[in-house]
Amino acid sequence: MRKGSIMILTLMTALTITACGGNNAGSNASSGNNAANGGEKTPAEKVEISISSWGAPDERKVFEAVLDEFQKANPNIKVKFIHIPNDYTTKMNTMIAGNSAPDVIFTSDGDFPRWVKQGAFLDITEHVESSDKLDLADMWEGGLNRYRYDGKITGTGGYYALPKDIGPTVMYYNKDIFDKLGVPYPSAETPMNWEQTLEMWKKLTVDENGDGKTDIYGAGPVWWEGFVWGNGGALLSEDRKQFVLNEPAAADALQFIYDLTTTHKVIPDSRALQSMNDGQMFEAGKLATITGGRWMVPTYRKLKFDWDVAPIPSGNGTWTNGWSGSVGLGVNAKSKHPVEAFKLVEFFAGIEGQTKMTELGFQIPNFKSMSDDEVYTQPGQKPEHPEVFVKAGEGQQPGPWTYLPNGKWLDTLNQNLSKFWTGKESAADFFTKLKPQIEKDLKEGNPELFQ
Amino acid sequence: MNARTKTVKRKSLYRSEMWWGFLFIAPPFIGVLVFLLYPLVNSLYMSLTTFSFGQPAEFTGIENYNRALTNDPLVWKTLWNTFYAALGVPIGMIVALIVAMLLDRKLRGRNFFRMLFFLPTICSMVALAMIWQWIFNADFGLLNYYLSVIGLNPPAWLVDEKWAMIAIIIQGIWGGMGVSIILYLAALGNVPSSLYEAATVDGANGWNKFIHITIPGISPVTFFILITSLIGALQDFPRFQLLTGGGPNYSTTTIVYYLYTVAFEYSEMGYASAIAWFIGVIIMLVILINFLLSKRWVHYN
Amino acid sequence: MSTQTTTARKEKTSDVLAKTVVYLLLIAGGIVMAVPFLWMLSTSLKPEGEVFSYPPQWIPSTIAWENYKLIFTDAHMIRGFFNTMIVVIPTLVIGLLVCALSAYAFAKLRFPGRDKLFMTLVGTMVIPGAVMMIPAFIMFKSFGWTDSWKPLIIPGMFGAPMTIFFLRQFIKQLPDELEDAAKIDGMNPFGIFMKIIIPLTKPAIITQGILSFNAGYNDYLGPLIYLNSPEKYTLQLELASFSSYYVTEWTLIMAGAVVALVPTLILFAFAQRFFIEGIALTGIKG
Repeated sequence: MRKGSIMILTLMTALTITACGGNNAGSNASSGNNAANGGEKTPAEKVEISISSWGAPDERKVFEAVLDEFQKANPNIKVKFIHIPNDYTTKMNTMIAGNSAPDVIFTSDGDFPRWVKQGAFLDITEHVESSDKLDLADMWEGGLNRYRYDGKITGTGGYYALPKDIGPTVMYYNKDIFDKLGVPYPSAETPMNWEQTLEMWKKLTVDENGDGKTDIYGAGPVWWEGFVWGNGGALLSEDRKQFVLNEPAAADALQFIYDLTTTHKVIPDSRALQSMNDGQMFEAGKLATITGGRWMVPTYRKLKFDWDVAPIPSGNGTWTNGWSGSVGLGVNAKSKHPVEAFKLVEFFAGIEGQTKMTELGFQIPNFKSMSDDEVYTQPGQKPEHPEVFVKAGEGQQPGPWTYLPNGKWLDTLNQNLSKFWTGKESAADFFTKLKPQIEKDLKEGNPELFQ
Repeated sequence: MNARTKTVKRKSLYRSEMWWGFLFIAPPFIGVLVFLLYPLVNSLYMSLTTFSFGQPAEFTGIENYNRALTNDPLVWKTLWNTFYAALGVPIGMIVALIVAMLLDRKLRGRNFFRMLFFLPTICSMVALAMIWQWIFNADFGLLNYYLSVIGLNPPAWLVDEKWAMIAIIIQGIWGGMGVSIILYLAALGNVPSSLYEAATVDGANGWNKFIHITIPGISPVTFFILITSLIGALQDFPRFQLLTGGGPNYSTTTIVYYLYTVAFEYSEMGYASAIAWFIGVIIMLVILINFLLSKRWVHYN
Repeated sequence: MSTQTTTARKEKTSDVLAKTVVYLLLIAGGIVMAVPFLWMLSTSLKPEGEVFSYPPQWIPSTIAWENYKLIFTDAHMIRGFFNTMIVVIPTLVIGLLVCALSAYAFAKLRFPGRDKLFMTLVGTMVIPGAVMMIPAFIMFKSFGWTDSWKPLIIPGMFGAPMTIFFLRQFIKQLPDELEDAAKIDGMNPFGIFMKIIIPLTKPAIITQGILSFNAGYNDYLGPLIYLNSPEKYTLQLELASFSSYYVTEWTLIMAGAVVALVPTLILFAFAQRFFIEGIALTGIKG
């Protein structure tokens, strides 16, 4: 669920949808609401709605169990489940464009901005705010806000989907390596600062057989966005019109990462920063620590060595040190049964669905109040410090792929980063030079932002 | 008199042959009309508009083409990458011909070898891409492990701007060879052995036979492989997507991969269609040139 | 007499030498071909935590047969296989016949605009399919064909330009005299096609048959887009369900890929003797 895979196969929508702004969709929703109020008085007719999702067999089983419970609780609603094995985005692009999308649309937070701009989702603000199953104050802000859209940018405005889950990122560490090298475990309470981190990673980087090649590295590829945020920097300005990665706080963070690889050599090689496969190096015991999301827990539980989690290092000690992943559920703007569809969305996002799905171990629950619950902490199973994820979930932000409907600026940035990691230019210079190109992409791809 | 009846007969034969001909080629054309024409025309029309899902499309004439040709450096960069990647076509054809010639003889275990070379063709591309990613992994991959065991200092392959495309070309030759090999095997078997026997009697050596009998004999199939591989290579992209995601620094983004991104990631279907027709015209030109040149080197009899 | 034996022996030694060289080349090439597959096989038999151990470990510490069991219990492999056959076989049989007929027309029959029409057909392949995906979906939807096998079966029955092109190349090579003789006997083009062309191009047709079967068998995008109901899913869709959004189950994906190879391999082994051994053109052209 790294950016690449989200971005790779992507979207498209309604050939026939006319411009469908927030207001327009909003009125649909309220008319749906009225219909429901009327509907409650007359005897309920059996309604069939459809929902699609992806997922491996074990996820699928849990998903189907949630659907069963929902149907038991709502005997007048029958749910048709379309399981899409893989390449979900490609399939959904076509379905939305062909007006055959299911009533409830699953969406990754990376697909959401495009689909919402294209009018695929119904504005469900009223339903969300009046729901008695969703205590918004008890939900993670970072999870909720990424599914809001104001017609220009995400993060603010009406609700168009609700999080099915939120998956914060942390630093996983291989305890066996720490023990072997006599390095104390990192704190689960507070993020380490850069100096402490560098010192720790240096101790963990070793050439065991003396052949001049490093056998174990202190850290795997660093997820640079978190380092930028954790130092008070940002990628884009607040209004998302400007590229600000060249400003001191951000540039310092990128320079620090550059030095980690080229000067201190505690990360495999600058080239490994781009490789998607490096989670495998951690599994192979070649990395003492690695950045990773909550969703890796079920996989890592099968590893042979002992491991735990700690906060991602942060330049200024805050928990805004990484991005959290998420998958959301929205109501199809074309749905004939918006009220029933919303009920299903609510069920997944609410306590009932969350309890069931948290068992899988991929996510932390949507509700702050559930984070001490044994459903989540799963005592007896790794990691020993599951609360690290909860704190991370509270502080972390959505990834930059959730910012705007058109993500060409981010592709340009990512493709150019490889030049930076392997080049000789200082971060400040490099990103200052890149600024005009990125801002051109921002403008071309998101004209509504500049109107 | 006799001659005249013959021409008359020929003519009527020709007329009826004409109708038979039209009848025989009708199904593929009906197929094109029913299943392809609409999508084709639709994409051509979209290329003249600002079509982007959910937004009203505006007719802008050749503006998209203008943008692609004059105001989008990525179009040219990815076009260049595409032709670079297509270098794998001639290399792959030569390797395939050599392997096919090795296999076109009585040998123990030749069925086994034929199957081995054909394996990549029949295997799931996704699984293969995963395996190759692992093989090419810079620090912990199979290839670099063995290269460093024999004392070489191997490159970072997929993550090195200079090597990524070379790695993908190698993978492409490995994966695409199987089809060319079995097509060549069918062609080699089609060259009458009597020709070789006659040449042997005349005292020709193996090389002469290869140049004067084999090469012309298989030229129709060579031509077919060339054309279809070129079309395939100039439109290739899923491999690139799976192996490198187009990076580093766009060094392995092909033009069709780019237009796919424009269409489905940036939702600019109109612009993507214009790029598609642009590359379509280029491919058509490449094919036409090859058809014209083919008269010089392709022998059907 | 003695000189003759020497030459014979000489020939023999050079023969042995040539054969050795051929074998060495084939074995070297074979290793390059086989390594990724051996790695695939090895991965498919590994317990999950062991997939990425380094240095590379070829023999798993314990053979995890359960991976193979899992793919059959977690996915409907058998049902998927039969669905794939339903999709592939009608297209294959009818499509090949249609292609061979039009290839024959393009290669041998005389009619106005023949070569231009042929170029047109080849020209339909030049526009990248990505931009036609959505219009095609909408078109098939208007036919009422979504969530059915029809979009996967019916278009293929009208022939594929690629196959027509290949068969045309083959038929063009056949000597005209054969048909001329048949024409004089009063046979019509369809008769000539059935009695003369088909038998002579059998190897080429079977070769194309294998390739078309393989293309249909491995098609993923088509079934993905058009099918919604799990009971209609083809094998490739079933196989794809081992990667989730979060994690990739390497061992299962590899086991699935290995199992999926088997039917095509059997077909290939079976067809080999037809399409490679069965060529009997010798003497016809001479």
